[in-house]
Amino acid sequence: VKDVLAMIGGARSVLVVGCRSCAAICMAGGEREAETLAEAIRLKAAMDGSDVGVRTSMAERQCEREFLIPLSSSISESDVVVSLGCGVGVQVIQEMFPSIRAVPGLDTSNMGSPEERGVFLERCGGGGGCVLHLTGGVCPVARCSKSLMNGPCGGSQDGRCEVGDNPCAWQLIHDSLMRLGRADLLTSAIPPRDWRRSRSGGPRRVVVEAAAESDEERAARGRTA
Amino acid sequence: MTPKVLVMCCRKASTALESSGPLPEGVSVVRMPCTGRLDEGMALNGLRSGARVVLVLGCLKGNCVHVAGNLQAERRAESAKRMLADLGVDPARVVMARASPAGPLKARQAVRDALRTADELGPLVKGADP
Repeated sequence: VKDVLAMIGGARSVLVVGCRSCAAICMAGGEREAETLAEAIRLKAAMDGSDVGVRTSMAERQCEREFLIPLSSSISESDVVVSLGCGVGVQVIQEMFPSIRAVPGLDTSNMGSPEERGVFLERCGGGGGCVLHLTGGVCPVARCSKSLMNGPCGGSQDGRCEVGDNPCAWQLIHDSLMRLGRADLLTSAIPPRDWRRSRSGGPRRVVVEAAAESDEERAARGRTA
Repeated sequence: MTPKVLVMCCRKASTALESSGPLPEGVSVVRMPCTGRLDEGMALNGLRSGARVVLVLGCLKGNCVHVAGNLQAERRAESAKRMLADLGVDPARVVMARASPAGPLKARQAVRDALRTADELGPLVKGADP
C-alpha cells in the first residue's frame, strides 16, 4: 500500500482496475483486493483532507485489449490507473491509453501454483527450451536455486536445498523418475541451455501458427499487417 | 452523530452484546451473519466514515457455527492492521475480540476497551468526529 501511495502521489482521480483472471485467482488482484486497495487510498485521502476520487473497475483479462475497451471512458477520466493485473496488464493499459499514467498495484514475480490456500510456489520460469519430459515433470530452472541442469550440487542435504527452505529440485527429479521407472533419463546429459530463448535479446515473441492470421487472410479482411 | 467505536460482529457476539444491557454512547453496531464476511476494506471504510476504532467481535475460538469464520476474520483484521501501519495509522484502531452469548460481560469489556482506545487515540479523519 505504501508503494502504491507513493506512485499515485498528487493524483486527483484514481482508478483501481482489477483483473478477473490469474490475479483474481491468486487472491492478489480480484474484486475484493481492488475494493480493499481503493478503501486504503480513500482513507489516506480523508486523513490528509485531500480531495481524491477513487473508483474501482474490473477487466475480465487485462492482457487482452478487447477486455479493456469497455473501461475506456472510466480510464480516460482518471489521472492514474492502478492496475491489479500482472505486469502484462499494466503495460497493455499503458499502451492503450498512452496519455494516462498506469502504475503497478502488484509486484508480479513468477508463474507458480497454489500449494495451499494463499501459498504459491514458483513452477515455471518461462525460460524456453522446456526439459520437463526429461526431469520427471520438475523444472530444474525454476525450482533448483542454482538452475542446475544435470544433477544436484554438493549443497543438497537430506533432500533439502542449502539455499532457503526448499526441497532440492534434483532430489524431486530423482524421486519422480524412480517412480516413473525412468531412472535411465538421469544418465542422459541435458546439453547447455540456449539462453537466447530466455531473458536476453529483448521481449520473446510466440507465434501460434494455427491461430495467427496469414497476410492473405489479413488482406481478405481488409487489414494491413 | 458519528460513533467513536464501530462494532462489526456476528450473530452470536451480537446476542452477547445485547444481553448485557444498552450500549454505551458513541458505539454503533454492524451485524453480519458471521465475521468471516469481514474484509479489510470494510474495516478501513468504517474508519474513513469517522469511527475512531473498529472492533471486530466474533465468536470464541472453536465456537464458530461456520467452523472457522472467526479465524478468517482474525486474519483479515491483522491484514487491515498492516495496511493501517502502511498508512501511518496506529494499528490499534482495528481490534479483534471474541465473546459468546454465555459470557456477555466479555463482550461488554471489549467494547469498553475499544472506547478507551478511541479516547486515547482521538479522531482519525478530520471533521468526522466533533
